[in-house]
Amino acid sequence: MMKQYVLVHGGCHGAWCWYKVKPLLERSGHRVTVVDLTASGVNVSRVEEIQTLEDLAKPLLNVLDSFGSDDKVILVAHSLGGIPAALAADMFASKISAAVFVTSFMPDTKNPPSYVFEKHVGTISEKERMNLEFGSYGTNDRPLMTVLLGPKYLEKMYLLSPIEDFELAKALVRVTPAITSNLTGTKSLTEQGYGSINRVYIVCGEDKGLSVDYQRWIIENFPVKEVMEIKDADHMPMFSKPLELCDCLLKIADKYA
Amino acid sequence: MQTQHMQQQQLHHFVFVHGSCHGAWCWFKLAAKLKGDKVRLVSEHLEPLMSFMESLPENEKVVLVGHSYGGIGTSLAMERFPTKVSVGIFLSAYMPHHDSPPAVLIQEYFKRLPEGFAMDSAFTFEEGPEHPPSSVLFGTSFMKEKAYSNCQLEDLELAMALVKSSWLYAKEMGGEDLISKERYGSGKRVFIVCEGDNVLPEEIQKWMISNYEPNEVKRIEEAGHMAMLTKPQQLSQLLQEIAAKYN
Repeated sequence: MMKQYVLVHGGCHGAWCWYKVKPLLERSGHRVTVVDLTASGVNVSRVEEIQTLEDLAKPLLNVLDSFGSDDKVILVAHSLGGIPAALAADMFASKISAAVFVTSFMPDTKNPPSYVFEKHVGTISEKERMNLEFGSYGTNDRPLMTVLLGPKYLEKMYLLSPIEDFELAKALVRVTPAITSNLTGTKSLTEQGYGSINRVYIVCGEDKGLSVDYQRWIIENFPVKEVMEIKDADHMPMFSKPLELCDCLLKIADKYA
Repeated sequence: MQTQHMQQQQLHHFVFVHGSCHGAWCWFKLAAKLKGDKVRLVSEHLEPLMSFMESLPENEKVVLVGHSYGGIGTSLAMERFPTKVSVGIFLSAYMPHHDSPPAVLIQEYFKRLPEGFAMDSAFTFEEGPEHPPSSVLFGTSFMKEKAYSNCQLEDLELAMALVKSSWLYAKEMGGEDLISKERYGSGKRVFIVCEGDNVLPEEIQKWMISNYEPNEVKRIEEAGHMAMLTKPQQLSQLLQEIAAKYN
């Protein structure tokens, strides 16, 4: 049976990152929508226009809004995209048959949506911090931050991916808003909305951007229905293991959609 | 007895200028293949290209590679910085004659296109319908059937996520003094014909070559319009050969 996937990219990336996965899923007879979040990919907004998590998620919210009330989608989020995706799932819970977090920051329903990301930022070493470019915007009362993945940080994320895709990323990464509690607010996502949907986590076994230990902690913090693992995937499984990723996504559709 | 043959690889500095609706990203496969050389991908608008050329040290030369509309930027950079370009490579690209403004080529191109050629591409006409278009956005069907006709499905998918509207600067390109015989005209030029190109058809490529003969003409078979995506290995070898010859 034909299913509908909605794929959400990670920080600094865009809809473009799914260029290998989209045709694979479509070849299996499914429909795939890829989204550029605000100020990502070729979306024309500037990062300074993002004042809330909802601002960031807007294009995704519009996509979900456009589906009929009887339509259900499999929402797939990568890395930092997990947080705006979780907000979208909270607002459109009845339209989500499953939410898939691919080596992703997956919020819970107790803490602010920014919690799992802010905790991770705290673990980044001084040395690694030098490979990230930080910026600031917002006001004195409510300072906001931007971050851009530098080439050395990207290299770690793309360690097992084809070199072409690493070159592609270097040409395309854009500044992303840092998802802090200033951006998201302190109210957690709801138990009745986001908390009620089927969640699956896909662990990437060779991820040097978001360690396996941290991925497992994210799962422990807010247990999921099912954990899958792609053993030899780096942080970018859509490039390093597209067939295996597609395989996982097809299995998830069979089971939950 | 064993002998070992060590090949000394000469390193070159390539600067790539993309065409309409695209971005520096379209060179990603080439950038991976030319890993040893210095590669610079210049994003849209001419200002980044000119600033970059300006920043080059006095005695450093680059190989400029322009694709499609990027040929115009290439000719302008060769005009502004004649001593900094060892060779200008026109990859199925607009290659203006030094005697006429680049706009003439744009006009000629649109004149020679058959009716309905652009399919579902969207144009704006800020100067009015009798003038060439001001901007273009390639349509989905145009991408599938013409621009990306030789490409793998993945590459088409990538492009669909990234194409955006771009200016054609037809008015700005009408200046009489934009390019000259002494500067742009004194540079070395190589044209790479892309067989099977459905955006800049071979007849038009050949017309440009006969209109303004380059130092050399090369050819890539079955390339389509996006040779950097369909034939990156061949193209990278060709570029390195040309760079070595005109060093």
